[in-house]
Amino acid sequence: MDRMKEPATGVSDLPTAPNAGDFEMFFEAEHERLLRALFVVTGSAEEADDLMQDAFVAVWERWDRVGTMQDPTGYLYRVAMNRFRSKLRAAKTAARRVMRADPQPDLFQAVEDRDLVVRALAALSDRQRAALVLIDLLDFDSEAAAHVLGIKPSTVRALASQGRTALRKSAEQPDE
Amino acid sequence: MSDVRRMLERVSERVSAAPRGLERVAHRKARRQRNRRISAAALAITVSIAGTAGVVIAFGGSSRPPAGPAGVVSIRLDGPPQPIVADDLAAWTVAGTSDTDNVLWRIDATTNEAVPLENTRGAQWPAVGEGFAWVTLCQGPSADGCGRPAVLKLDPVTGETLATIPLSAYPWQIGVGFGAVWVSTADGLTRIDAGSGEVLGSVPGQFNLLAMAGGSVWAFTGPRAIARIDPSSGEVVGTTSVPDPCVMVAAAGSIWTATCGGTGADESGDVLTRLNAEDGSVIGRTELDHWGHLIGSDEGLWLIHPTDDGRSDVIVPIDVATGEPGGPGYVLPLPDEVRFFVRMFGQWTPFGAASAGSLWITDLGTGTVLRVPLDELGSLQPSPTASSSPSSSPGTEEGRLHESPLGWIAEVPAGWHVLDFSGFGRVSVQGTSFSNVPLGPTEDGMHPDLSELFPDGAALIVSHREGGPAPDYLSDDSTFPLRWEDFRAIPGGLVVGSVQSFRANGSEFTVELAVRADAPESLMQDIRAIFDSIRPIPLTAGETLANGYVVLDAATIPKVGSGSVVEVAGMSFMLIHAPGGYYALGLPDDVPASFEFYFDAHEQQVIWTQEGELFARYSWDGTVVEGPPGARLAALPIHPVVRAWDGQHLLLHPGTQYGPLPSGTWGDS
Repeated sequence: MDRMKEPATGVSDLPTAPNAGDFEMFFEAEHERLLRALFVVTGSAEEADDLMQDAFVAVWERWDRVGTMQDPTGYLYRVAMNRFRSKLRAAKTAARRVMRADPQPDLFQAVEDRDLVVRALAALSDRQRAALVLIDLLDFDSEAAAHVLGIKPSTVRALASQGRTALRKSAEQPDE
Repeated sequence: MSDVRRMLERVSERVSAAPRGLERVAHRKARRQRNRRISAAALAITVSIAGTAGVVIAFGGSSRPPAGPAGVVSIRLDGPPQPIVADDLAAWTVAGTSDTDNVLWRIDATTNEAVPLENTRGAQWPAVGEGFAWVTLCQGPSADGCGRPAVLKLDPVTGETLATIPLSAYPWQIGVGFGAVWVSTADGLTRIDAGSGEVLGSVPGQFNLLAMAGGSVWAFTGPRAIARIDPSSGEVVGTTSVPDPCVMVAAAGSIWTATCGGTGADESGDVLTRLNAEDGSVIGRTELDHWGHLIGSDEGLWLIHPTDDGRSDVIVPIDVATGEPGGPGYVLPLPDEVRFFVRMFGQWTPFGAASAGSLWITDLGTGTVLRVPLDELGSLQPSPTASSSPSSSPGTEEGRLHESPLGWIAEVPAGWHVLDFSGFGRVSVQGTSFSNVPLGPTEDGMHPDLSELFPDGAALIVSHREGGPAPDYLSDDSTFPLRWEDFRAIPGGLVVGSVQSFRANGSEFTVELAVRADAPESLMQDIRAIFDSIRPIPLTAGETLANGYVVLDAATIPKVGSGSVVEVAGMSFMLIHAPGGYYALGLPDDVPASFEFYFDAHEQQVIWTQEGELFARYSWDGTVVEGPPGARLAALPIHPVVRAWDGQHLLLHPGTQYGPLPSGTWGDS
């Protein structure tokens, strides 16, 4: 922590704002967990890292307000998931699909594709993975997960249920 | 720990955070902030200075004349000068340290001699025109700070007061043209006969900055609109929406307005907008790297702003043909002394005027007017910072264009949003991309269906939310507006032809009407006429429009995430407000109460649940994707429903089927 308070790069606004120390603590406490959750959701370490940084920038810029929230972590995940669902990414995906010029990279390409769980995750929809991660990995209840994803709790439950079914099916199959 | 959780954790542990994570986040944050050049505090300074004299403390000063670059004349005043106007005879500026002590100074254009006019104490804003100089006046204290509001009419050579014209309310801005003096006041826009000094009347409304061009009086009205006023009738004949206007001048036959500190969205930069002085339509927009005051005259257009260290001003010539900065700008060093300190945080912005072959630029801090001969401008040091964003070239750096035999897709830069582009088969929009090939269902179903209103070849772009509750599709990183340069990069050449506003879904939208670049003016006129007719078109629940759409009563519109049963012409169906828009489907009478269904815009599926668990999934077109084993589920008649242009009705697709589903829908499930 001490090292982070005086970064060698001299980024001037890092420690200067009020409560910046609180933000540093918040970052240290949450960033690894968020990154891993986003990796499961996106299937891409690079995209997960990008989303994680974006989310923390957004939180940092509003830290005066977010830092006083009862649940800043919930806000962080909501921002991250919102960005994940952003239209920019949807548009790029659509563009690639139509143009066939820039095929979407395989999900989870950084990990071995012989892993049946990984393959099962890759076969899920983005929102199914997001619901699964929020409910089963991060222990959000369906109300909180619904708030993060901007959908109804029953939809979250349905999406997570589908994800669970797919994962369990994968676990029942023998490894190739 | 559940088995699923273990599986997920096993996958998630395959990544770990890179070192120096907070540092990387800080860098990203700093990059974002680079474009946020102006803080709200700086904007407040502008507003305050524009509205009043500001609060200024005099430090006193030395008698040493401030030094300046060759060709630049420094004219010392006894107070910090603020607004300034000029003609061929003289420059006139209001200087002082408080509202009640300000006086008008006359600076002779031949001798550069500056003379305070003591009989103008309480001076506010100057103007020159119709053969006289004019200044608004507030003399004596009162509850609103202006005990005796008036306009003074002055001899243009001697500065002698020729007439004192009382006003009924606190004056804001003053302009001269069309044989009259126009003063925006708390009671409206007051018109004074320039010859007799008689108050002829007042245009009701709230107005502020003024300009004269194209046979009209132009005035800010409201936070994001400029009114065009007929000087003969005093009627507001048109209103143009512009993003957060802050300064406005007339130059080269056009009206120019710019923002001061962004366009309202979080990261958007400043924008210079050029309006057609004949009809108020937007001719073009240019992103500015700095905000500042505009100087406009028959001789040209300039933007002036202080450097970051406040020791110099930068003069940026604007090419009136293109609206683009004509170069990087020139640095005008300010005298190396500070005699007056504006008791506000941040820098002060210079005011300026152009006449007699010179720019006249005020500097509050040193109490100086700097006269810069236009033919000496090139001898000043070029600004090291380009005034125009390098990304302003059409579609070269920010926008991306993909072309293939299938068609083209244009992606606007990150942070830009194209919310709707009702090309209806010609152009479709998804997120920040738009294309002449289908990109799938538009996620935004909140906008009017104008398919029957727009002729072939025209398109509607909703690009700027003006107010109201933020729809969920407007993320906090949205920036507006799109610039016309982006559209010029599209094959076929699209240019923005008009900007207007309308209400939809409870929000105000600025609409940019785009047509092909080679569209004849007659088409533009037709489109404008059609566009103007959007709002007055009345809709009646139950009626069928010419395009076959059926109008639904506003009372049937459900909230997001819910549905309601609607009957039209004796036929019933379920109307659903899903996150991505409105949809309609037939509804059997015997649906079990434990069933719920949701539209998943992202998956493009309809999800049916029973007791919260998945029961069946349907594709977007209503065909069954998945259902209970053994169930014989029928296809669902599903059609998107669009919001009507009046924001009060929904429009049912002509192909929407109504009534109960075929028997056996629920099969033996």
